[in-house]
Formats: sequence, C-alpha cells, structure tokens
Amino acid sequence: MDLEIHHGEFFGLIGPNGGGKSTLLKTILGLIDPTRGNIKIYGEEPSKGRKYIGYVPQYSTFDKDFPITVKNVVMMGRRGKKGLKPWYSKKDMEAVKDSLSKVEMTDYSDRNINALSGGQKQRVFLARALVTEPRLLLLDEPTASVDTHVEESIYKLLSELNQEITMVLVTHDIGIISSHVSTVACLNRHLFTNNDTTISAEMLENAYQCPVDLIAHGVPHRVLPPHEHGT
Amino acid sequence: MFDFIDYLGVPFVQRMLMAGILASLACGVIGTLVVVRRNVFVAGGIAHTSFGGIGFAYYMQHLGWAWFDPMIGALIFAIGAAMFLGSEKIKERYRQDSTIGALWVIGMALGVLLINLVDKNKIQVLSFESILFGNILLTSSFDLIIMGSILIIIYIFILLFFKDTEMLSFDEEFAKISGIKVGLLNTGILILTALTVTILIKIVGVVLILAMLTIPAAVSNLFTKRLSMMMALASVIGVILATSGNLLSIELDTPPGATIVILMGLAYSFSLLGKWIYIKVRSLRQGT
Repeated sequence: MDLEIHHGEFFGLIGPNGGGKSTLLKTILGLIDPTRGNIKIYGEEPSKGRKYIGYVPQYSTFDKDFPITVKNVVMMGRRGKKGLKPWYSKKDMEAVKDSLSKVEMTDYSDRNINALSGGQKQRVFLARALVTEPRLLLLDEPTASVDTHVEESIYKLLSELNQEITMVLVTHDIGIISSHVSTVACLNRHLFTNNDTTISAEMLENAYQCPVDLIAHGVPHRVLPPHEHGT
Repeated sequence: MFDFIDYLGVPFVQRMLMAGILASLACGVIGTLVVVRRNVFVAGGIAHTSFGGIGFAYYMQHLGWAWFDPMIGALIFAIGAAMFLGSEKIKERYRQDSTIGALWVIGMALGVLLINLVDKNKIQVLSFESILFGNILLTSSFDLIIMGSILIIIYIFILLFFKDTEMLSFDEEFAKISGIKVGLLNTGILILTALTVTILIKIVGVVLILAMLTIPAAVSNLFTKRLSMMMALASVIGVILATSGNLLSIELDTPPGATIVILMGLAYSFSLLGKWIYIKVRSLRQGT
C-alpha cells in the first residue's frame, strides 16, 4: 500500500477488525518493524520521527485498580522531553496544566483516573498526547465505548485541535467519522481511498469483502455521493 | 498481660523486630510494584525456585565449599528465575502461568533432593520447617546488614526511576514510545523482586513470602490514589503488622512467620469488608 498524509489533514482510517489498522498504527509508532517498505514521519524513521507524534491508545486496556491521578497520567507525556532526570520541571507542570485545560479537565487533575467516565478518560489520554507538543495526533478508536453525545463532543474538540495539529484517526465506526474528517481511507489488507472525504460503496465492499449498507445523512454535510439504488 | 518492655531488651527479640521492619519496608516498595503489575505469581515462582538454591548451597557445602551460604544459593536461583520469567522471548513463546508452575515445582523438588543428599553429620542443615515457614528467631546481625543493604538499593532505585517505573507499570506501550528502555527496566524490577524474596525467606519462609509481599500492598491499594502513597502506606501497614505479629508470637508462643501471615490475612479481610461497607453507605446516602 502507498499512503501519504499531509500536514493539517484530518485523516480517517476505517476498516474491519483484523484488517491491519492497529498494525499500521504500531508500525508508524516504531513498535513493529515493517516487513517490507518504509515509513517516514516528517522525513525521519519512526523511531526518531515518533517524537512528533502524540498517541492516544484505546483506554479500555488499562488496569482499573491502578492508583494514579489524572495529573500523573498526563505528566507521562513529558517523559520524552524530560529524559532520564528523576523529576519533572516547572515547565513540565505548566504544560500539563495547559493541556488539561485544553481538554476541559482541569477540575479533575487530582482525581484517580479510574473514578472518571469513559469520555473523561478519553479526554485525559488526549491531554497526555497533547502535552508532548505533537505535530501529529494518532488516535486509536477514540470513541469506542462512549455514548453518542460524548462522541460528538470529542470530535468537536478534535476538529478545533486540527487547526494546528494533523490528525490520524483509526476506527471501525464508519458512521460518525466521515462528517468530521478531511480524507478517508479503508484498510483491509489493501488500502482503498478516494483521496477525499467520500466513502464509496465500492471502497467499502473492497475493504469489507461484502456488500455494506450505506446510508447518506446529508447532515452535517453530505458524505456519500449521490448513488444509484438497487445495485 | 503483655510485657513488651521486658522483651525489648533481649538482643534476639531486637533482631527479630528489626528484621520484620526492614523486610516490611522493602515489601512496601517492591510488593506495591508486584501487585500493580500483576506479578504476584511471578514473585511466587521466584520464591519457590529459590528453595532449590538453598538445597544447591547445602550440597556445595557438602562437596567442600564451606563458604557457600544458603542465602547466596537462594539469591542466585531467585535472580535466575527472575531473568527467565522476565525474558521477553520466553513470555512471547510460552504461557506464563505454565513456565511459572514448572519453575515453582522444579525448584522445590531440587531443594528436597539436594538437601537429602547432604551428610547431616558433617553439615548443619536448617530444618525444612525453618526454610519453608521461616525462622526469624535465628536472624543474625549479619542478616540485618544484608537486609539493610538491599533496602538501600531498593530505595536508590525507586528514587531514580519512580516516574519511569510508574509509567511502565501503567502503560508499557506508551513507555516504549516515550523512549524508556522497557526491557531493561522490567528486568531491573524483577531482580529487585528476587532480592526482596531472598530477604523474606528468613522471616516467613519460602511458602509464606507472598503474604508479606502482597497483602500490605493490596490493603494499601484500597485506600490510595497515587502509586507513591500506595508504597508509603503499604510500608506502614507492613511494619505495624510484622511488629505486632512478632510480639504476639512471643506472647502466645506461636511460630512468628505464620502469626504474621494470619494477622495480615485478617487485616486484608477486614479492609475489604470495610471498603465494601463504605461504598454501600456512600451510595445509600447519595441515593437519598
């Protein structure tokens, strides 16, 4: 596959489970070496280029009894800049405060992370990614296990952040993604894209290997081109 | 009824209390890591493997290496087990509970076999009971120095690497992305676990080690929201329970190791019950 994401884009990657979305993310982050081909992040190898990336993992994988406050979770984002020094500096603390306020979680900074709701946790992990001062945000299923209302607010926040930061978002949720992103691609072993915001039936059928029902909402903006019925 | 003041002047009682305190402090830090990283049975595997090391040391003494202290044997086997169980390759390739189980029983069997081969007329061997269930009454000043040194190593490590350790334990993937040498740090933590296990053999014995390592930390986890606080509270709880267990065992003339463990078990049960009642009461209040 061949894929180029430009600065300032809001790139949505969709595809079925097992299609290689997570593998692609891990390869971009340099956690897995590609078997063939190469990846460049702002012209550098993933192991170096990942300093430009803020990564937001799926939160459901964390230990629910782990004793840690919101502030300390966000502080982890400064480790890359801090290095081996045992303590965080005042500047690090300031950066943490800033990014907590960006995601509107300042009031929760001394709470235990496990006392928060799914959507709030997601905001905290977003803050942890922002505190690294990234040029690119990589989000893995950011709205899995939150309700539609919260989902909408998270996407609104991402759109605001997109003014300065490139977004790459991975999800299996086709519904919401296309109304917010600027480019969509489908991944299932192969990559399918129209290089714009539309998802075509053909793309989805190729990616999911079966006919997929497409419903055009037209709100907030039309994501599907007018298409013939009954084919 | 309790004549604590009378005992406190007796040197072996002082050493016994001191050993309990030093071990509890080590467990406050390392036990917390073992608990939050879900390594309780990795620690159990390390502990039981070290029994093989004790047998090995006695056997080497039997062969003429009189200097081979059982603690050295225990330490070598514990570190070996830690490195084996911590190896990424082993973890990827085999189910971890299987490798732990295998190491656990091989260590025990090796200990029994080797101790059996030793000529007990030539070499003084501790009873199985002391090794398996502890004999804190036999703590020497030299043991205390070893325990103190290990505690200092643990404290230096945690002061330097607390933040990285916290991050690694919470989210290994993010730690890796942020440039932490994940493999090295994991191994470091496991080696410290092996050191702590070796200290604990004297006090509660191979079989009961998991109690001192995990119960104070598990109780502390119920009441804290920061990893550093969990370590501090676990240390305090451990010191209180170990000291009262020691004194109680003198008063009641019971085995100290088992007494400490029973006290810890009670403390854990009551904490779980207390927390459960607290949550019920709070939700009832909020409901009205």
